[in-house]
Amino acid sequence: MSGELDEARLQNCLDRIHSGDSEALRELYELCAPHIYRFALSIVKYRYLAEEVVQETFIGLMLACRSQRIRKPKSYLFTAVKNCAVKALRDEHFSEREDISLYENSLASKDDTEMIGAPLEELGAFRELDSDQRQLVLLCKVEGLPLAQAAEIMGLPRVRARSKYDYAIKKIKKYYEEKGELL
Amino acid sequence: MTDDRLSELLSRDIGTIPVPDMWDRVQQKVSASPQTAAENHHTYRKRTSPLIYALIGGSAVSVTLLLLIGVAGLPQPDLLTGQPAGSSPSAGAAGSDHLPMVSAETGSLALSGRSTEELEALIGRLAEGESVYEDSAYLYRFDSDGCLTYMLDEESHRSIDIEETARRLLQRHFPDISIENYSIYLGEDTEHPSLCAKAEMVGEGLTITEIKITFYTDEWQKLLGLAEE
Repeated sequence: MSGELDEARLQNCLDRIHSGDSEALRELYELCAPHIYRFALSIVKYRYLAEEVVQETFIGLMLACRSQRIRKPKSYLFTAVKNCAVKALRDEHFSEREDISLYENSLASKDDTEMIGAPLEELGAFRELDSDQRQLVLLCKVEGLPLAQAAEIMGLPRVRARSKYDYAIKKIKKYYEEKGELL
Repeated sequence: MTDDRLSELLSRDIGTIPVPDMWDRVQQKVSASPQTAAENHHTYRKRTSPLIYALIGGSAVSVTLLLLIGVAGLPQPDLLTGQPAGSSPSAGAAGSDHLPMVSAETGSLALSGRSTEELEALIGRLAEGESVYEDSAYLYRFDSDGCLTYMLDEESHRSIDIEETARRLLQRHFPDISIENYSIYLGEDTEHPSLCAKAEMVGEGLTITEIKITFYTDEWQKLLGLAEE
């Protein structure tokens, strides 16, 4: 993935699905899946849950597209991902704050380890951030959404979102400065 | 320029996370009718659940509950309780940014019927436009913008014991949860000091292992001794 999700293409895909174009689904998947997966990871942390969130999000999108024309598709999409992720966490009685070491100790195989990995947290820039900060940074700095819109998607008050975001950016800047990649 | 560079670096790093090919699974699910999709969903959950439960080794299912007391973001009391604003000058000041955190827990919150003298004896001089609300346990002081500046109980006045405050907040916000064993400590975030409680609490079939109470205003931080006066 490079850069943000193309909203015009997204709108086009959704409109075509709304009009009954079954071919548009593949294009929608190729366009959105990486963005959905990585945003889901910022919430649910683990790969297996993020994969489930991707599937649930596409089901929700398809059902929504069949019954209505979706406006503000980018905001709609990430809100859908957020809702699916929260549901997935609730359903599995998991939380992004749970100590993964408890579960890693009981893993039987490498496949399981790969499935339960938390790849976003392994990225140096994101290591020091909490879940809200990861989501805000992804939505604003990677997906190019305004902070107010990101706060709305996350259900956070704007004041709190601003505070969390500023604090996250400070940490990230420090990380890249120490690596010599940001002057 | 720095912001653009930061976005570029983040996009580059995010792009290194491999995305599994889920097309077949997505296609299979969404191509079915809504009813079939729902059935597939159920089947998927039943198939994955044993794996998850195996991973956690039979330990109790637990969740982490994050309780954020965003003092600066609390709505004004008249909006919470549906009661008239009374003499509060802050009516209409609260916006959609404010969190409805107090309403469910306090219920009886209402404009204090105490005299100004009595209130000032308890919580100090009231500034222009400030209003005081209270319920059965606490006094809530709101500034002229309708934001909660702090709350006090009569016994402790300005002296707030951190553990006792956390304990009261936990019992207050989770009255149905029995607290068997817990410890309270300060969070590490220096920008927004927080009280964290590690606890084993059983309620509605869930074991809650961690509660975090974050304080967002300088006033709270001063009261708790976490910021300089």
